[in-house]
Amino acid sequence: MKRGFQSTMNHRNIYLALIPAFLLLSVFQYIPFFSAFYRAFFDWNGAQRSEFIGWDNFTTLLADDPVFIRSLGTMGIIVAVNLVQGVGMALLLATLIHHVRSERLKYFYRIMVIIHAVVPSIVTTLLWKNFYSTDGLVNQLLSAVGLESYASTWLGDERTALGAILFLGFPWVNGVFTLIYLAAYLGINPEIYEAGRIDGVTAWKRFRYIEFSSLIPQTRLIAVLSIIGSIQNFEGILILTNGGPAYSTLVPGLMLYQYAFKYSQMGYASAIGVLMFIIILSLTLLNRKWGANE
Amino acid sequence: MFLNMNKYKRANLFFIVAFLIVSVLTGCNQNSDNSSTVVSEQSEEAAVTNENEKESAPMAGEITVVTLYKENVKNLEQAANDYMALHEKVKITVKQMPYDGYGEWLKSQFLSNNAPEVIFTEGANEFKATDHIISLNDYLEEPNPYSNSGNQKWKDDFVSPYVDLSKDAGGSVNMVPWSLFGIGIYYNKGLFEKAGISELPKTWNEFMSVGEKLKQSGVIPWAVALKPSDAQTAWPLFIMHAATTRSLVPEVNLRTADGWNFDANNPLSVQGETIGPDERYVAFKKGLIDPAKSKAMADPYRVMKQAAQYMNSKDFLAIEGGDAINKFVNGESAMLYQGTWYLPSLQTKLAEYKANGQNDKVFEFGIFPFPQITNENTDTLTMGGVNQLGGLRNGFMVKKMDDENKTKIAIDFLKFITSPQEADKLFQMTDPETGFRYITDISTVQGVAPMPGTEEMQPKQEWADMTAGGVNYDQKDWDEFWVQWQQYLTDRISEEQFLAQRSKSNLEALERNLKVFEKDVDQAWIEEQLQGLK
Repeated sequence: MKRGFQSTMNHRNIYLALIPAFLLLSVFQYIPFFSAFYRAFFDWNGAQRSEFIGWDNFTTLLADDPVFIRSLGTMGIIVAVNLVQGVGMALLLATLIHHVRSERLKYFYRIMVIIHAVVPSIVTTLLWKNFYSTDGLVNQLLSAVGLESYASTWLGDERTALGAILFLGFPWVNGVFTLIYLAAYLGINPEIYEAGRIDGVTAWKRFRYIEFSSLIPQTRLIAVLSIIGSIQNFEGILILTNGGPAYSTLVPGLMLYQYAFKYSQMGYASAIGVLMFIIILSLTLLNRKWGANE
Repeated sequence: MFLNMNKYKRANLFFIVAFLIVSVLTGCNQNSDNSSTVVSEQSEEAAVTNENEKESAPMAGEITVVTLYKENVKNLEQAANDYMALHEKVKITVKQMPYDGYGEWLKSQFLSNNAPEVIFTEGANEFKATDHIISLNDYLEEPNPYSNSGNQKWKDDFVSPYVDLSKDAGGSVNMVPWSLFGIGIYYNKGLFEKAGISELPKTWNEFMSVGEKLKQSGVIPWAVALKPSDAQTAWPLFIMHAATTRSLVPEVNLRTADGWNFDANNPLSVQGETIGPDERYVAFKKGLIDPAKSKAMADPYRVMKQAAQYMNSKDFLAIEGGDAINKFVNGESAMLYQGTWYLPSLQTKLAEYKANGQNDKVFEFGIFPFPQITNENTDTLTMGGVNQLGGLRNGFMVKKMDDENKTKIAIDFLKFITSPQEADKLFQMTDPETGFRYITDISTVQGVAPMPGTEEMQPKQEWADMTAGGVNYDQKDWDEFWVQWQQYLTDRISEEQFLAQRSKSNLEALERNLKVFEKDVDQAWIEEQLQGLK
């Protein structure tokens, strides 16, 4: 104990230097985060009016707000699809690039998967909005191949809007996730490959038993990042459909934003935030449990 | 010689001299009296002149006028130059403030005491509430020395009833009105002709037959986007609800000023009256303005639903307001419900087509008022018809200042620019580059001719509008309206479901309002009113 204190005192300048950063983090991150748990129990308009209402916000959300329940379902679909897209495409691409024999080509592909990340996501979203317009690229392509009967108002029809949002960004290449997998591939011991070759394993078995089992920690990380991102991000939906038509693309994140900044119902928005936090935490713990079992 | 004269001659000469002396002396006295009168009058005149000089001494000083529209800078600069030519010792500077978020900008200017003296704005009451601007009531009762209208009071130079209608709840006029917006249906004359339409529709039923003819001719009759970014389909609901619920006003507006009487035929009869959140809540609970129970609330929705078949139903859920406008400009649709503010961009676009040699895209357009619904469409029109949508768009407010001289200049300048002759000059001004007017809105000053083509958009207030029940009562209600409206107009929900959903959304909004405006709500009064109600 005494040695610990002495050690802290010896490095006090470092600890002191950390204080401003943590003070600012406290003011702008921690206090708002923790106060949301407290405010979720109030009917609070973000200003003077604040009335303690107990669990009312939560019971309304879960028992009396069909729009929120529907948005949870939509969020579930988005999380699942994004998980498959994020993990699947990054893994596929990383595996293919890893097995390219030419080092120069490998380098070229690595650059190519990351280069599109410099384009702001809002540009991509607006581009896709244009593709989905009535006389946009998607309908033009369908007409060009004789499938004009399938042309639709993709973002304006509640039967197609969610699908259109899920398809956005095709072929869903996430440069960062791909690089994480590529880095993990470099960590696989070449002797294992050699042993596999001697044993005559097929490409699929090599992937399943040698490569994928080595990539599980990265897969867990990417899965967690993908889940958190899918639950938190709603900018694309805000721009493309604003949650419509008829709430078909509404997600809890967008609802939180609307209640907080459009309707001045900060207490209700805080309750949505708390539920989102619980969902993220539960999924992360499940992921950890999966990792522990592995 | 005098001594040598005889007695008679000496006597005659004496009388003559005496007469002359008396005459001279009398004359002198008379002159003397006159002189004193003149002096006295002169000193009185001098006193009055001094007083007048003090009043009408050449004005001297400097004020700043700020506008929120870029296109108004030139007009105001012209007005300032004209005024400065009359008042050499006055300097008026015209500036532009940012349009987006100008309210916040102004608040910061007031707080830092940097606000300009005269502010051209779209709304003034919130600044009066914070005591940053002056009430103009007394000034508007004064004569306008620059006006050639012959009116005794400045306020009489304005189109009735906009000065009075612009009063806040406290009866204060906070803005010198400048222009009115009007909304009408822009139509493509060529497409109308092609569809064989020779007469413009005046009633709703005629409007429906025009829609059918246009549809048969292969064009989209009415381009709309069914989103908050294009409130075209909600605007008719606003004016229809005002008309269909007019007869309910005395039953809804229960807490009135002493002796208030509602006269549906007098737009001024609702002046100063507001329907509070508690009154609306009570009216809703009584079923008066509940869309699920009140025909007056439901009928406007039903009427508008009839028009859905003539809208661009294929994509009106997908497109935005701007796309709907493009459909009209590109000749895909024959009609567009828009305001006076849209005129410059339409003219510019058509001029661009012409300049680029795209003559096939150039078309002649006209504007007609939104068709009247009649008793054939609803039996709830028991007190007058539908007023056209429109009203006061902007005006000038004057900063509250300690410097009386600046206030005086500000008021005098406003009298100058709202004199019929100066206002007419400013409204006629055209941009030399485009040849179009800077101001396409309608002047509030009487006698200023509207821009050719916009005559039909003059927002006539024929009946008193108080809107006992409306489409929505807060932002969330408005957002929910659009979801429900989209589903109803696209046949995804039935009329019954739509009205039930509207009813629920309206009630929730009214309940929220009771909390938001807690201080103005009299809970005991609500309970008393709802006593005995199931």
